[in-house]
Amino acid sequence: MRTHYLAICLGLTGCLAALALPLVAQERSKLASVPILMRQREVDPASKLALLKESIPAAKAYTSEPEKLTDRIRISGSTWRLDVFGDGSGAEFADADAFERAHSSGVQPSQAMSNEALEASGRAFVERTLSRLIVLQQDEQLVLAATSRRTEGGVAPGGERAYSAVVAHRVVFSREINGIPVVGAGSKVTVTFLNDGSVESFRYDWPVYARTGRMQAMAAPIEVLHRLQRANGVRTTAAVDRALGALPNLESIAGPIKLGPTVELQDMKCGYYDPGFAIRDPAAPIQAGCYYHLLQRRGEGQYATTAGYSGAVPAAASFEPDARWPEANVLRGVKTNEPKGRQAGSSKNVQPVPPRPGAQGQ
Amino acid sequence: MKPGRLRTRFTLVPTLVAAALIGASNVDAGAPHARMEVGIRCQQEYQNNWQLDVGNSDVWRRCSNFNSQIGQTDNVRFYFNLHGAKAPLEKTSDGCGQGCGGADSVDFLYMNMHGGANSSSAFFDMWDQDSRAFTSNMRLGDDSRQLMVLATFGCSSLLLSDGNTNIINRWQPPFSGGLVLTAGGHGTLFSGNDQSATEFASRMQDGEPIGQAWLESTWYADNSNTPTFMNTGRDANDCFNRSKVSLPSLFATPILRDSAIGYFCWASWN
Repeated sequence: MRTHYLAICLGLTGCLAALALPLVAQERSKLASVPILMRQREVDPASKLALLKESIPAAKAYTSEPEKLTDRIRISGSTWRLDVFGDGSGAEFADADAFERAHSSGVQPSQAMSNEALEASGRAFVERTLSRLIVLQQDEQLVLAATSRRTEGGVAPGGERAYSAVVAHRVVFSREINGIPVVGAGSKVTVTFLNDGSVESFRYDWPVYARTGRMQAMAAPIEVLHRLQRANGVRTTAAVDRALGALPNLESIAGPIKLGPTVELQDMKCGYYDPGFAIRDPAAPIQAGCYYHLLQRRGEGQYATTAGYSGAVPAAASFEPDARWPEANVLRGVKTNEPKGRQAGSSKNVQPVPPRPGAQGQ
Repeated sequence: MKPGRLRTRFTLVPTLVAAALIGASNVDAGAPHARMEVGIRCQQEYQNNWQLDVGNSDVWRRCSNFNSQIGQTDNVRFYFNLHGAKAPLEKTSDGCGQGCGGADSVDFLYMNMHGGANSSSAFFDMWDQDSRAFTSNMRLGDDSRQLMVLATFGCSSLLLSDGNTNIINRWQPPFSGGLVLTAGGHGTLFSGNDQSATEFASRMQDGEPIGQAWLESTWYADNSNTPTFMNTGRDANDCFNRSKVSLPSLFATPILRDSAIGYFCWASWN
């Protein structure tokens, strides 16, 4: 299983864990192609909602019909909300009572929950509350993807009464299929805990994947990096090209690398790319892709700015169309137009600014 | 209370008051709130390429998404680019009206462009070559409609890592005019998932606190994003209470200007 991951894990942070494992060169070439998957359409969001309701104490007593909204169904109480999105493969629970308590339960960073404790709490919650929704097939694994902390701070205008505290912790799990990770927002479970261990929110996007029967051959790692440059309009240089070309393989990269004179690839993780229910085309296949973060700097000194780019580039030598995948569209030469902001003063129908209701200064 | 609304206890009373006084707007998933005047100012590409175009029409898509979603419950008075926008965003001309995209001509201003920060000011890059709007030149919330919320999808405008003195240097001037809350990033906000703008608006329409809606929508769009929001209060307790301001409670939130501001507070995901 791990061999498959290495074969398409084209480098950088996503591969660091894998680097510690034994690897022989001929194993890497075994996976020259991967299956193309489809998100299997769920048929009954209401039944998913019912399963969730039974597992959440605050929602258990709710008896009314769910509210049908544009892209979701919802049940809610005065201080909580439970949404099941789209076809039922995603959901979100938010507890406003817990959010209210977060500030008062803040702790110093040194006293905050460790990542190990956070992962253990997250896994226990998924097992206890979401086990009928987060179903793993025989060849799938739930793996830790990320952790994050919500912090609060404050200070008086003169610099007195400075305050800083950690108020919440977030853990994200993802899925590996036959050792190949799913990258992007799809196949993710996120749980947010307060310091006292109570759950403030959870959210998941956990579709069932099915094989299409089609396979796709993988692109060479250097081709993926060149695609990344093209998709983001990065002007490379001969020196950068030489450096990239000299890489023995991308797994050898242990930190950010230059893609251009002022452009750094911060990280890239490759696998099956699923952008998640909010932005994906439901009819599009799940293909090999590499999710990246890229920084481009402009200017120097006190006015230097950094532009951050994230997204995914196709990792297959030949990839199928996906109208909602911007990088794939750019690489295929598909142009899109969006309504741009107009020039101020261009409107002929300008109304006077109405006074704000109850506006009072103090 | 109507079933199917998430509403914090903090927001309930002002919601009912505002709805009764002004007339409520609604959308299929919305907690009722009085209609805001909303402005949007964004910039994808820059004069003579002096700043980077992040590509894929990401900025225009994000701003269009915000426009479409917030427009279901509120009055979007302008969606302008940032050509010549320095003066209408700074105190020299922020009350110039909705036709010129003045910051103080709306209740809620959403922007997407490049941004940054130094020790004395946060700044937002304009289309015009080498032109930047500086927070140190802003006094928001004291003219015209009196801006209450400034949300900027741009990097590092709410930088937190260089000490409280610099944070105050950067943000005391705009808040001194009465601005209630600003949202941005303490580090990089990545282009790519433009649905964050739809989700931001949608969460606010659900009655979620504005700051929380920003943190959640921006972080879920990319877990490497660094969303942050900041607001003021008379003291620390008041500040953290006011950090839960939502659209239903916005117009009932007391305005604090100049010496009435006793505390700045913020929250962020790392």
